[in-house]
Amino acid sequence: MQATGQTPIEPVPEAGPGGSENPILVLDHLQTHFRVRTKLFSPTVGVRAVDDVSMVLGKAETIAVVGESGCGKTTLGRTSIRLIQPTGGRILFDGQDITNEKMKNLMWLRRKSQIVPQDPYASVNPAFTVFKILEEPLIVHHIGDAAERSERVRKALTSVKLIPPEIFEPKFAHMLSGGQRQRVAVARAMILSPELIVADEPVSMLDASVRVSILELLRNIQEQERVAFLYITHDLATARHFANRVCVMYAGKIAELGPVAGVLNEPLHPYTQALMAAIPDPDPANRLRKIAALPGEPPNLVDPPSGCRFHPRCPIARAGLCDVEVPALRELRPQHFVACHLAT
Amino acid sequence: MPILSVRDLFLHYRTRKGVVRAVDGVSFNLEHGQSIALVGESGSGKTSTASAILRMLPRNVAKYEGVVEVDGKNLMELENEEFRTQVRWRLISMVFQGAMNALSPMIRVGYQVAEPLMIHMDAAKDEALAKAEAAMESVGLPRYTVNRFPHELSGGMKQRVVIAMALVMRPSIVILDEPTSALDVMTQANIMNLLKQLKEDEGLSYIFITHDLGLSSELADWVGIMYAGQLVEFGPADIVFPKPSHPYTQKLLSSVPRLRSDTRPDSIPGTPPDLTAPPKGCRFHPRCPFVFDRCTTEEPPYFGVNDRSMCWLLAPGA
Repeated sequence: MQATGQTPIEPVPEAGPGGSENPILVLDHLQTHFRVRTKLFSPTVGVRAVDDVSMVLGKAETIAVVGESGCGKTTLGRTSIRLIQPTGGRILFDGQDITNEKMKNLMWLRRKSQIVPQDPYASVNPAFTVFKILEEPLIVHHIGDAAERSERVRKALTSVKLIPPEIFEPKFAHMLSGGQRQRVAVARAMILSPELIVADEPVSMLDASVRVSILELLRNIQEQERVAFLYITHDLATARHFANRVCVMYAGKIAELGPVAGVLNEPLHPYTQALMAAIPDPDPANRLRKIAALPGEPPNLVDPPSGCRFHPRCPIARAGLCDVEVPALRELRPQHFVACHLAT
Repeated sequence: MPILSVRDLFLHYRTRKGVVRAVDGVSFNLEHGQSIALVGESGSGKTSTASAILRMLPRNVAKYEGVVEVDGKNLMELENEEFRTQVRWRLISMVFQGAMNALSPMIRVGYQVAEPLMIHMDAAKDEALAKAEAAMESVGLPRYTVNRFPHELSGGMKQRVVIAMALVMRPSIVILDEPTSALDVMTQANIMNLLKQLKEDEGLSYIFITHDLGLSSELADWVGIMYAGQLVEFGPADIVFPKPSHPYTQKLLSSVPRLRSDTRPDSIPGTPPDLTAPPKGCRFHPRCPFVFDRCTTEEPPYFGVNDRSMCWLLAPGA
């Protein structure tokens, strides 16, 4: 399907498997700036949470958006399905421009895109039974009669391995463990058979042994139902095992974007390299090393650094270049894009 | 002689559902200048073990016994008041989970770091503040932070403040409960570097509580794996990480998504047990892939010398 075809969509990387001709989501120079007040009565200032981000997500593809808190990854996820109104650029969902569409015309989008939130304790209504939590989206979207709906709820519960469904249907959220609650959240996201799921740190609140089973579940769902995922996380290690491609964000911009194996086996951006060095795999030799951690903190997005936003913390920054010129995303390896002047 | 020796420590809580056996016969030694990582999932009794060592007990204690020796002196024999004045902060200090969010918002952080000195050592205010400043410098905080309020500091800086607070009385042992769980990876890496450096420079001995096996390998000379209130495996990091002996440790290690290898993480079937009614025999047996008859009836003792595990598979002749 051709995008509505006004401005050409450039240096947007090609999508992964099967996605390039028929992407589910195209972000074209997307910008989300917020107006905030730093003090009561002070004039508002702009926070450039997402600044000029372009990417293409193929159908049934998973891109992991990785970065530290405040890098704009959650804003990017929420903007891509119009939970936040972008301030610039375009969003194409399944070929349709949804950037400025009125909310009331976007009911179809609410069915085709879903979100799995971070906190399984806060994201489900405590006064609803599991059955009601899952039935609600069907009622809102006028799907089926009562009998059909309860059939779909049963199927959804089975697909997230809450078996037998009759046991879980009458339960309230507080009667479930964290992992079970997150399974309910996944079932709720799946029940409308969406084509895109934005999963915002879906496992960060869960224990190690449960975390893997939820990621396995999401992966199975993706393979069986051919859903695309925008997997938002701070954890590169889970991204490696769940995503097709990784998008590393820093200070509202894409630093590096490429196939998982490419980015993690040969990180080209100094930020990605530092991020990887900071994440330990269990290895007794770790205690004998000093981590090459970056000094300082991520920049304030009200007044981000000039040039490359990473330059004040970058170990290889070159004065006169990195602090002046904004680096473009360059394809340094096949499908592997890096926004760094010095990466080769 | 170990600096800290914990033997047969029990801490049970009374609840409406019954007695929760949060710490159930935990024993380990901490040597001078070394560190132990206590690793386990939520509810495995890691934090309760720390509370039991520092005698910070809720009201609903059903059973609290065992031996906690520091430099050969049994702390369990002390009166509460003696314990408060002689042990807490002076001998053993603790960085609580989320402590950085518990800093008082209205008091300058320098004063908050100095407070234990004024309360426990009757130090004069000026002297205490000077020591606080030194402690804050030792954790890599710039001088001016002394006069800042918590809201003016970033998460990583606040975490450094609470670590400085734990160090200000120069205790022999520091217990750190998930000191980086709310921080970003880069900040976490900086805190890890700091803790390594403190251990090297000042010979600090510490117990580091975490649910993250990768992170535990950053700091641990010794690793203790907790499951259902018990320390199911305890051994040197050089053995436990490459060659864990307890099936739970093996499963836990294989459930960690690796950043540097394509080995797919494996999930552990089942859920941790209810500590009001833990399974008979070995507490891990309902989830264990190697379970056999004996596991379901008899609780395993420790087997192994250097790396010890509660598992019948390791019994001689098994």
